[in-house]
Amino acid sequence: MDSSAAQASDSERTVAEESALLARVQRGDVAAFDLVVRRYLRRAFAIAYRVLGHREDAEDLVQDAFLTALERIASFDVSRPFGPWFFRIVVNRGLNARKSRAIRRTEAMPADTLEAAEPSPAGMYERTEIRDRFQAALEGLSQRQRLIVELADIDGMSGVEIAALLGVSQGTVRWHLHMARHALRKALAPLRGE
Amino acid sequence: MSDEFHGELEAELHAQLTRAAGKPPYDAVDWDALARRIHVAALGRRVIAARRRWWEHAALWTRAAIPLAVAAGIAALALIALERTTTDSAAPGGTLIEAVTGAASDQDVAVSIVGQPTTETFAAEVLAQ
Repeated sequence: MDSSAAQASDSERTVAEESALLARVQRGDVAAFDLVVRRYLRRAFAIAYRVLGHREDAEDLVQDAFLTALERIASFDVSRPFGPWFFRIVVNRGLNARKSRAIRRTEAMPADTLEAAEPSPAGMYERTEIRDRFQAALEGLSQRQRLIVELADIDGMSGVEIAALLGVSQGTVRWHLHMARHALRKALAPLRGE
Repeated sequence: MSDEFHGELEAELHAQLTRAAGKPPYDAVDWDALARRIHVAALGRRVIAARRRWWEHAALWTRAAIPLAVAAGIAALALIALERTTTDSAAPGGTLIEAVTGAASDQDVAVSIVGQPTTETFAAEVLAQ
């Protein structure tokens, strides 16, 4: 058996194993639910953090999303992949949480290693200016555009994955990504001497 | 724009984006505690769900049982009514019609009205006379 056939076989086995696991969750098996939680916890947290920008809020959102998924699990088709369905719950509930209540402010990010190598006060000033402009441009993006550009450019998610996550078409994702990058590149214009 | 500069700009974009948005703070999360918290919350929900399910079962039974009982009642009443109609009209009616039309004997008419004579009824009739 060649490697691609072996990979396909592994993938089928994983899908079948996950279907069986989710069928157990549907029958009320708590141990199976715990396994699902362990499997998707980190990824769900990463997405929740992208939406809310705060660790504790993200943890609360992940818990809420798992409980929502558990409540709706009876209606879930176990032959389909669980990830996109579940992550869409995370995103939707996260966006609703942002709208409906004042969440804690985004945590300050640790200083970037690039800034440690600043050569001169003039260079530092320029970099601070660029950073401020970039920050303003990022905050000027719509919630959806910001989420898409962060998921794509920081977390390395593909357009297909993001489209499934947000429940939109790949074309919509590409368009938002293009617009977001365009706005952010403009903030970096001083680097081009503009 | 040269490819080299384009590459630098993209790298700068990525660096600025990473600085501004940041990587999720994986190290700050107590994963076991979070998983336990979700487990406990799920158990709490399951207890509620189980209670609800019990009530739902009762409600389902009620919903099914009431129409069944009503249908069974109607069917029973219809059967009783049908039975009565048959008992009241069939045999005596037929003999009376035959009596009126002269097709039945006197004895048949008497039997159809007072019933089949037994030894006791016969003896009582004789003693009475």
